[in-house]
Amino acid sequence: MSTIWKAATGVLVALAVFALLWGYGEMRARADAERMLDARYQQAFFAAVDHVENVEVLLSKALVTTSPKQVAQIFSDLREQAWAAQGYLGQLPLLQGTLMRTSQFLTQVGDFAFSVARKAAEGVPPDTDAQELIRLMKEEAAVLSAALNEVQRESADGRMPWSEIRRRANRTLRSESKELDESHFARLERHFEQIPVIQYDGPFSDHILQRKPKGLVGPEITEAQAEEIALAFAPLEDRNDFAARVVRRVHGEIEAYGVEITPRDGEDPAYVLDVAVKGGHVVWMLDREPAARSVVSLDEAVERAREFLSARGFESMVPTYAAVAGHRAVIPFVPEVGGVRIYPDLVKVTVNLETGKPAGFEALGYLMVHTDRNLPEPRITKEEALERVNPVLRTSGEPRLALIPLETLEEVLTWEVEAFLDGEQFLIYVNAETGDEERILRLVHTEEGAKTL
Amino acid sequence: MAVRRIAFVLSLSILLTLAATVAGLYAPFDTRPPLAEAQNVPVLRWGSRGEAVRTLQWRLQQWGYYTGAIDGVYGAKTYDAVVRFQRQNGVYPVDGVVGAATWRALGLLNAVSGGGQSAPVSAPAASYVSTNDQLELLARVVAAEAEGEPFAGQVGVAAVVLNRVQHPGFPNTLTGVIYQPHAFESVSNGLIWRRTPSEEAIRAAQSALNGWDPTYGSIFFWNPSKPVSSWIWSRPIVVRIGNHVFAR
Repeated sequence: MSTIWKAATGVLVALAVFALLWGYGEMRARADAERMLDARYQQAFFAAVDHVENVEVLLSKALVTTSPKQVAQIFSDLREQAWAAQGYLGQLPLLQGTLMRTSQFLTQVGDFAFSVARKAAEGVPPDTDAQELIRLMKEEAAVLSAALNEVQRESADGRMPWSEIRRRANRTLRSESKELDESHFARLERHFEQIPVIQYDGPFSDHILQRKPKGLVGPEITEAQAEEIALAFAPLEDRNDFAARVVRRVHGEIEAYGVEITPRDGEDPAYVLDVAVKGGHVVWMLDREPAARSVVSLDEAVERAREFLSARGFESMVPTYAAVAGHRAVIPFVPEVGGVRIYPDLVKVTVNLETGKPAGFEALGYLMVHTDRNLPEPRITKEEALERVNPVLRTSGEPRLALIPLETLEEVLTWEVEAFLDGEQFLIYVNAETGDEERILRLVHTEEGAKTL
Repeated sequence: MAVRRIAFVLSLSILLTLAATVAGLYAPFDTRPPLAEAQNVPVLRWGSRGEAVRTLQWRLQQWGYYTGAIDGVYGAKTYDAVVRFQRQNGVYPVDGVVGAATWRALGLLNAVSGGGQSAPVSAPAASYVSTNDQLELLARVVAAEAEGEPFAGQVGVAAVVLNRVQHPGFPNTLTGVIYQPHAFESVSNGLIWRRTPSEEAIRAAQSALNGWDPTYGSIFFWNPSKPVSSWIWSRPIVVRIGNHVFAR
């Protein structure tokens, strides 16, 4: 009997020793990993502090400089530093959304700096509004810099307890506690939620972030009308086989009804689309039919897409460069008005290359900007536009007029010139009023279509 | 005597079971199914040289693992960086050998594998990631975060990721957004690497990349039946699709 006990004890002791050794090893590995992770976070934090300090210094230099050369230099540095600071702040293991407004501020500083640098390149110095904005940004950058330094001082040895912060963030994420993390970061964020509106000439300016749709015309519609519109819009062979139902309300930049179209003999919706409450415009449509192979050619798909659009009131649309992926073609169309291609009014149609049926439709951008426009007369001729193109390029075909959107959502009339260099195809847009080159696109030819970059 | 032998066998089998359990803990990491059939993936180890090593060093430097020169020579610093990357991202075995699993975790599998789609391996200087990499990563997020959701909801999740890239309050690269701490639960718990994106998830990611956005610029989504921080409910809600609420 005692031998059994001895053996059992032996096994237990062996197990205990093994477990201890294993546990110790695991603990060491974990501590190692945590230290390594802490070091990475610490590095990101220090880098963020560094870049924020540089931002403040550059903004104060921007306030006092008078030389155009300095302006160009300072503002391109500023953009780089502000975006780097934003990037590093984004790497800190804080609770989701903790530093969103703070990051937004830094992006806006960088974006604003870019617009000033661009104007400086055109010989336009910062005006008084810009000066005002620089002063505001400098003050805010100082607040940010001071707050980050305080965070750093508070931890006795200069090292932030990132693992602890990370664990706390994890807990808050999962618990339903009403307490918001009362750290320095949260205080900082509240400060940046209250700074004045930042308006300037760039894509992240507050007035662009809060834009309103221009393309919604007509009275508000009811749910029943939305269902009717959806049934008429979707490419159904026999609409009596299908039923449409409003399944949700959408409160986006556009108020809309979410409609599902389901076959009468099935459960899964064949098409899902959003119909705008005002005017009953279809905002987008998606289908769920997979495509396993390509039967229909790209040319035929473009033709089907064009028919689909014109049957739904989109007249005189011209296809631009299509892209194919997963046996589906995505074909962007733009309206051509009086010989001018209106690129801001782009709508997209997806065609399933196995069935040849239109499978998707997208017009959110169109509905946001479409309006009756008064297009200016070009001041530059076709021939003058061609002269403005870099002579290393070999142009092809006739330039044509195109209205294009800039990053600032401003629209400019341009000459679109097709050109080649070393077998690569480019589209060059020359401003039809000033003759400046506004934009360059490069076409990338994939196996089954072209795509612009 | 027989008793002792039984005890010995018993203890041996317990130890073996334990060892197997421990080994089993790590095994699931290795069973990541490949998205694309890996063909001719270059295997790099200490002493390797060439363009693939440069690509590796460049990506490791981008993600902060590597501080040495991008010289195309796999030396001590590269080895350290690879091992750290493998350990932190659960690529087993942690051996400093860069094979298909490590390339995949680096998001470069398609870029370096020969044959099939010929995505260009970009020069270290350009911060350019081929569309294939973007699609694969985005499809993985969709698969891990929105499996079983309606198709529009899957497109919505992909759109949120892309909206964040465009949004001034978030990092301005796709990897920056996806790997931002606490941004996506599936990245924190590793689910993103364990699920193979279905055809539907890939199509959803593709639709979002092509500009479809059922969420109208939303930058948050969450499942209201799971506990989430109360702060997130203060965001203006745009739409609810399936089990997800989308908000700006």
